[in-house]
Amino acid sequence: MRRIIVYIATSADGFIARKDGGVDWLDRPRPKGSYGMSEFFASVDTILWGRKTWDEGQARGGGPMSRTLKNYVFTHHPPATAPKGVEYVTEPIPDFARRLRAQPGKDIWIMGGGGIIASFVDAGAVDDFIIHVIPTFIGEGIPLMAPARRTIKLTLASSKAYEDGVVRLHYTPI
Amino acid sequence: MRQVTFGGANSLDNFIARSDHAVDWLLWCDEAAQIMAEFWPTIDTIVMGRKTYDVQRRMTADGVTPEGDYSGVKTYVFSRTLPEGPDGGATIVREDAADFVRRLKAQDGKGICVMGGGDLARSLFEAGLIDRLGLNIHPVLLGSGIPLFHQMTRPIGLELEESRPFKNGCIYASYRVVY
Repeated sequence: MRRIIVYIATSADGFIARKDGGVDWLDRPRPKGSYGMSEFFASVDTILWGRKTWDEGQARGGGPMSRTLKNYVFTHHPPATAPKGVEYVTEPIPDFARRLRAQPGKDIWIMGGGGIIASFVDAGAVDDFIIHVIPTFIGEGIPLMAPARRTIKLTLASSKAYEDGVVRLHYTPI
Repeated sequence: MRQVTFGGANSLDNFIARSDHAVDWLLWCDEAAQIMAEFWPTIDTIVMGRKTYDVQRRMTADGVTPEGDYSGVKTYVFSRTLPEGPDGGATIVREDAADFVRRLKAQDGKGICVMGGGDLARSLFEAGLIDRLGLNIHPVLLGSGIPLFHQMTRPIGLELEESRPFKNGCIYASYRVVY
């Protein structure tokens, strides 16, 4: 079965982006192997985006991943036409997740933001959390998940510290 | 110069307690206890905010013994409402926390531990006074609650000293703070 994976970086104070969506603090020299990113990219064929995260990504040039993989963008107000490789989703997330998992394919990457991560978590539709803790405080920003009272217990599957101080944590929900 | 350390147990999403202060999700383990047992002898001073002090006093009143050996450790509590001076085993300080800790650091002595929630830590981080950070990151997402790190007006760099997984799925991460 395909896995749905939150694969993301957070600051050590728990933010995935600055308040304005900025991720300039992720622009840092990477150690050899880039935290295994290319292996991860090769293991997925689908990316799930919140509308804001998608728009902000596109405004920054989009990146090669969004051009070569299947992109689903969650929005309440889908534009009339979608660019090639993009599908707008208005379906409730539990239904969408069930349908997507039933299709053959590689793993599925939830890019963010905090809104769709929270919705997938609350739908019990996340199989893995792979969190890269960046050794910096950005002070304020957008949290990993949109706030709500919840208790998602996790199993630590692995942890790895890189020479630049990034710690990669892999969890699976219990 | 004396070293100032801040840290604690947090959820993966950076909360130290639920909104109602509940810490039902905290996990106990020998490995974390061992790290604390090694840490206590390196300090001789604890600083905390008034809210943390209240929590500790309530716990003591309920018969819960605080973790660690506090004998020979000087405790300062920052408060704008309590009367200044000795209060039980602690000393209430009304002076600005950053000014006070800056002076403490310049005195001779062992390390200084910043205890409790993030209000005091934020002032000390913003004043560039915290040297080390120790986290016991728990394998749980709480979604909301009281954050370990409050919003700060300045970005702060960290250097990872060590990260170590515990058997219970917690991760111990210690950092040196770079201003």
